Amino acid sequence: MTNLEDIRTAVNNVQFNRFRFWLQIFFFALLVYGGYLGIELGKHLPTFACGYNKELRGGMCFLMPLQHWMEWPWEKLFSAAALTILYGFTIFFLWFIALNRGWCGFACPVGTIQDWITSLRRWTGIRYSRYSEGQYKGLGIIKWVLLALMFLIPLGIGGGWFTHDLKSPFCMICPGRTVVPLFGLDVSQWSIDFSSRTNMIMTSLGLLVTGLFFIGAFVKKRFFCFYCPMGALHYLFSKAALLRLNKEGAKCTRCGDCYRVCDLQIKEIADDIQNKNIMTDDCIMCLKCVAACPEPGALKATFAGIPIFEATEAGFITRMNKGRTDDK
Amino acid sequence: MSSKILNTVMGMSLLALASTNAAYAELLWLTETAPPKSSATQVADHAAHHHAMHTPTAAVSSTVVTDSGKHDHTGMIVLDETPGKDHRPSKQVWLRRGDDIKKSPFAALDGGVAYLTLIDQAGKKSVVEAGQENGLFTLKAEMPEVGFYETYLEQRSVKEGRLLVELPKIELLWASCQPKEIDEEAVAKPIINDALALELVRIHKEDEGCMNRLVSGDVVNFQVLSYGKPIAGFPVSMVTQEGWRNTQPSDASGTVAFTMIREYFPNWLEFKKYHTDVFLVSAVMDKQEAGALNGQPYISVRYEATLPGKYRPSPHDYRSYAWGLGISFFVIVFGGLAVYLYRRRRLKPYKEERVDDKS
Repeated sequence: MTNLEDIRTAVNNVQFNRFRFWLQIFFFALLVYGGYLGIELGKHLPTFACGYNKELRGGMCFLMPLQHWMEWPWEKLFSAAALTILYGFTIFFLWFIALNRGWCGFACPVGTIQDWITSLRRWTGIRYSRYSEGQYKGLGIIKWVLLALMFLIPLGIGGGWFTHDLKSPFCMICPGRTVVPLFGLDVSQWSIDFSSRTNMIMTSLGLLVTGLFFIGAFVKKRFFCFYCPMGALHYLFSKAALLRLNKEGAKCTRCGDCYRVCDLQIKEIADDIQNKNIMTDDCIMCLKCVAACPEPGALKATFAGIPIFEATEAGFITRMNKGRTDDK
Repeated sequence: MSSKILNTVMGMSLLALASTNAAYAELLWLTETAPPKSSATQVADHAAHHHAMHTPTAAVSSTVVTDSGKHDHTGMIVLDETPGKDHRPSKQVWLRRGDDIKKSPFAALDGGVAYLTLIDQAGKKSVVEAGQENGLFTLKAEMPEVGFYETYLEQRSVKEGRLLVELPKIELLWASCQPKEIDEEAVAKPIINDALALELVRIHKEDEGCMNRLVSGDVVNFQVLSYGKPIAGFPVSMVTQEGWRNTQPSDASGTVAFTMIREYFPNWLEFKKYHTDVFLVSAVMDKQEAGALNGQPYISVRYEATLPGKYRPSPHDYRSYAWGLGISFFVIVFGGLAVYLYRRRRLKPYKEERVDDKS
């Protein structure tokens, strides 16, 4: 029992930013270079292990096969062949429930790249930007629109309404397509395809989003995560996940530390003292809020109901003494 | 005298060339392109019509419809090659005769001795049965594993005292966009039928994989083999869909190289990057061998090997890195500037406010 308590104390006192940095490096190596080691985690991963990274990747983002399936002709889509989709979705779901949106906060290569860009900005001494409340509310809808289009456009292709050049529409504008293969020295996605008007528009749009990704990620922490349809898809199933972020409102003093460290500017994390499940559609479960919380037990991450990392006074002091630079 | 000899040699060469050209014009080759359904009813009539013609095959004229339905200037409807999709685990193959890829007629077996062999990537041979569809030769090849499969037809017949051994072959592919499902070494390794007197083999690139497609501008290497051994200095010919021809002698390792020329020049709005052109590679070998086939004697043998292939427009025709990098650079520079100006405009100048607690 004492041993278990010791482990808990050690975990709660961990230098969280350092731990997260190395965990992100591990997932990045696994998902972006895993192919070198013969690792294949399948094509149903709930994170941007980009399929355009061809042989190098250790698995594939689920959105790619999902869009391919949605492009099936309707006769096929609404037949027994749809069992393939059901099977694929089940695998996706099983992966997802293990980490919930921790896939975004710890495993996503595109998220990790954004964190590295943030580190670069911090090194230059340039301050970061935050959305105003109005901007935050307005722009927050974009991920849901992208999620809807990601289903509707491929369905339209299957129904014969749209050209096949519109296939995998989200992949075409995802910065993962252009940025992740760069780590395998593949620049083939940095070109405009003039073979048709649709291809020309989609590839141009993709590179426009890539340009915005670099600027956005430089001035705004986790810029793209705010618009990510994978995040929106995650949120639909997050209540069933094993990893959860819980808050005990009675222990919260609304000091606002959690809000200040939140990359996604989620105000509810500080303001909401009613709900136990504090997850919102923007939360990437990076758990920086738990690490920054000074109130014992106010915020905690649980796995299948068992607390695995919670706010403690000692942990807060240890981390503060080490000197955090997140808010530079 | 020397001039007479030269003329005689030239005359013989021309005769040989004419004879070879005539042979090429009658080449038998396998194709993944299906005969158009619209011609099905015409098949029987044409078969009957052609029965009395120069070839004993039950050939049918390729009066078929293009994708666009356009007629060529001769008024004849011309076939646009539309080979089967590579992501299917079975493929149907047909037989055609003649080296005009657009117009050569679909054919049936001529009733001589014929064998069909399928060799998979692991080198496993299996004998397959040909079928018939509307009087035409057809074969459905099952491909249980992702990778290349070679289908061989060997047809023997005696004509005018000569044994004609026709050896059409086709390379079939079941491709997968999952690179990890592919055994790259097995894909790169050529499949060779060492029981054949004459064979053409396309040399795969080491990193070719299954999703790689030949495109215009590629240099494609072929090896010409006899019973699995390379033949040096042997002429190998290529004819493309639009009729471009080239003949090259094989080098010491029996290899010939052809650069795939660009033949696709549509208007931009009609451009299709998945447009597929077909080429046909062939080699003809004559041997002085006597014998008999089904009681019919012959004094020489002619081997005719064919191998079709397909290629697409080069990405250089439609992809631009300059534009891609230009757009991203433009967005980064001007977007960055816009963010800088926006933030600067919102910067409030320092203003000191004093509060007098006593008041």
